[in-house]
Amino acid sequence: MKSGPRRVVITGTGAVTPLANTVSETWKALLAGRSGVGPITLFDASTFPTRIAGEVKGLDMNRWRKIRPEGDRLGRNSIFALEAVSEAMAQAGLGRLEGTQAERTGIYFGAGDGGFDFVRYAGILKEAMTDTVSVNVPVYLQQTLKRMDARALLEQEPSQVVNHLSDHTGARGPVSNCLTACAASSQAIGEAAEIIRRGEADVMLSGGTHSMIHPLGVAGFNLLTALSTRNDDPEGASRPFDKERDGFVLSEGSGVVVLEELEHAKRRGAPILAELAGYGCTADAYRLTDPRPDGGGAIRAMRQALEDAALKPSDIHYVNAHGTSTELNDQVETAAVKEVFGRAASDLPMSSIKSMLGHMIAAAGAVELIASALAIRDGVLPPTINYRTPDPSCDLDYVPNTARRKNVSVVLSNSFGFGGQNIALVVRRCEEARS
Amino acid sequence: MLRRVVLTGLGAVSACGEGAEALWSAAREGQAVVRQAGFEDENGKPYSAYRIPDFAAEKYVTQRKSLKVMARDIQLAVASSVLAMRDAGVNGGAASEAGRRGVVVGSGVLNHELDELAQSVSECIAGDGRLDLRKFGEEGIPGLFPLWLLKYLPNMPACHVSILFDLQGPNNTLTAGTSSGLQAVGEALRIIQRGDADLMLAGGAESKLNPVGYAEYKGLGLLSSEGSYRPFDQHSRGFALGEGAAFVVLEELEHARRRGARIYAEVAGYGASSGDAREVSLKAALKDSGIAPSDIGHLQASGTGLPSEDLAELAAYAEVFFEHPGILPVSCAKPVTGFTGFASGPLELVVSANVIAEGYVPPIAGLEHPRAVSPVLDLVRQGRPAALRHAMTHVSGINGQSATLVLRRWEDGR
Repeated sequence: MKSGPRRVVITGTGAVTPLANTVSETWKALLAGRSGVGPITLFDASTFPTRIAGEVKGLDMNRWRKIRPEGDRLGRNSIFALEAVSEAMAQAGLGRLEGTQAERTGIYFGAGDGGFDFVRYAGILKEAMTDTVSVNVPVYLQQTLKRMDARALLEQEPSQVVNHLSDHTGARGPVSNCLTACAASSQAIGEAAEIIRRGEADVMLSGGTHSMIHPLGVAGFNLLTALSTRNDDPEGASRPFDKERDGFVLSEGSGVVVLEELEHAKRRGAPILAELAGYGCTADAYRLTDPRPDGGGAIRAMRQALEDAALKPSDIHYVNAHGTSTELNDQVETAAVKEVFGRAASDLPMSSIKSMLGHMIAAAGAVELIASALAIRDGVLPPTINYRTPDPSCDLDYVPNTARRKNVSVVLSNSFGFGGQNIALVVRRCEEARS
Repeated sequence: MLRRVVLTGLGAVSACGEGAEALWSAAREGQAVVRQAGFEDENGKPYSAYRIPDFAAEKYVTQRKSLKVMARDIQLAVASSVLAMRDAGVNGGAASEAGRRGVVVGSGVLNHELDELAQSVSECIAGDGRLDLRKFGEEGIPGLFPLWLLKYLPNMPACHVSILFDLQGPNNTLTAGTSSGLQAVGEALRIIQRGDADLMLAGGAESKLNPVGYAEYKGLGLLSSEGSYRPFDQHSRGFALGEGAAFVVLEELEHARRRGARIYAEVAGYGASSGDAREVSLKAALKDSGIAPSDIGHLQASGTGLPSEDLAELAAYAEVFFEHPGILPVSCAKPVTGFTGFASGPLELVVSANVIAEGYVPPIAGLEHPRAVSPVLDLVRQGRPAALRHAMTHVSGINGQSATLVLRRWEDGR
């Protein structure tokens, strides 16, 4: 490993997803090929072009609102993250951090922005429209200062998530958050691993959390014509690599991993799930939303991750795809994987769990990395559901519709985002874990 | 041994004007200029703050189509990255190098323009004054600018900059509050050190100098009532709003030497910590630089101007520099730039680069009665020449994390 001998392993995982609110239940549902997508209930979307999403269900939001100071202002993103971090830390055998351990533990998240009270805000805008074209600023300010809670407005900042997490866990080491669209939590995990490798921390709490299932989020993506409008068939709407795909399905949730330096984990007898072995990060520098048609950025990211892990393409047993279910992504990702793996690509299983979870945006990559690690642990690959009609431009083995038994030791997980962000992570079985 | 990294380009846009020289000469003289912000406050009075004078984005963004999808923060980011690359004398570069160049940006929520939303929203308000979401779905959404979302996505500054300069290497956007900009520089340093790139643009941009940003800060009670900005002064009660952007060019030493680049300083080390653990980031930066507290010759402080934060910051310095044999000069550029959030760290780093290159310690403008007195800290009230080898820049406060960067004077032939 080029950055030195310190190796990074995963010792805890946590997840809140449209399928379930723990890792084990989410994993069970993924292997059963269940969809977490349904009609939008968080607001009245009945006239929106898209009326379906993958909502988190059955999570006791009030529990965190009671536990945390200022809890009543917590956004869904923060609550999901607090819940998932708690699960991950418990699994890793970590309690509240104190002393040196706190200083040697950091947080690097890919947390998305928090939502805000759009309906109330719209009312203020209306009142401030003293003519038909523009807002009267003094009136807008008077109304906002009177009716909007400024601390709730502050919760929109993506930085608030890591503020809550460092306060709640006690972590005092390096704390950061990146928001690189749909690649955010994968990038966070890659950078968190780099922090451990170079010795700035021994433990990093990493992952992502996001909810854009609010009127402006859905409207914004609808305007970009990025979302599926298969409103009459929510569970069949996310269909990565299928010819009939018509866009991604917005969803929400959080995925968290505890990353730890290998020797540190062994010393404290922490359960080691897998090793995070490689990280690649490139930019397309091409267009705001479209990927490079030749997949150049994605190809370089995958190759970097392999090189970082000191592995050859033939060492990879399974690819956990970005697989958004958009026309362009699925085509370009397929072409890029074929370029990196050559003729072996046709025998390389590659599935997209977004077919079941929808697209958790900033949180997607972390949950996909967890699924990649669990595929190694359990020797089973989650499927791409809703795969019915083959697309000539997407001709790989997508593990269609049902989970597959297969022993895999090394997995590549891709995440690509708006803005041309390309992230690839390599996770592998940790032999040391048994010794 | 780690690859060495040097600063070869500085770009800044702030109330002081456009270009790093404009910022440095204002900081050097402790000169603050407050202008009309372009909107009225809640009492109908024209609001004055640290507004950039006559900023014209068209000077930097030649494609009108691109300009339409850029929030003001993005425009400022592009402008200062252009200035930094120009200052570094980097043009385009060979296509083969594109993958070895990248960008890291400190960013966050970008405020939207009120009128953009108001138009389509106001037509969907029901009789009870509340938004009728059904009507919004049918009539409101089609009335919005189709690329509305892209104009305000936090990672779009990095995206536009990467496209402009064909930066196909590492690309990241940090959204960790006010420390984001300096964290971006620290992470760019790491990326070059570990060999993932040879040249990185890093910086931050923010403009909350608009009704949406003003309302939030005002509501949070963070704005100084008198509109003045006096960090570390006993009478300071908050900050005054500014806007700006700064980017620096970081380069691997041999890469910079090969192309004969001018070197402002070496980036010696970096440290980060949670917001309340300022001393952890300060000590980490010293350790990473391989130096003792007594090696630091100047400290560029964060100085938000909030009483509790100014005190906590000074206490952290006092703890870390307790054994400093001399008296450490401390400056703060915020009274000159205003509070610029994600841009503050990079703007202050540009000042630090000049402090070390010129050997001059600037004053804290407006400081009369220091909030705390320490035997090891000198809150500079009068600018003066000073020979120094290491300069430290620290950012923390206002719900942000802590970040500290150390610059080392560049002596040729070393």
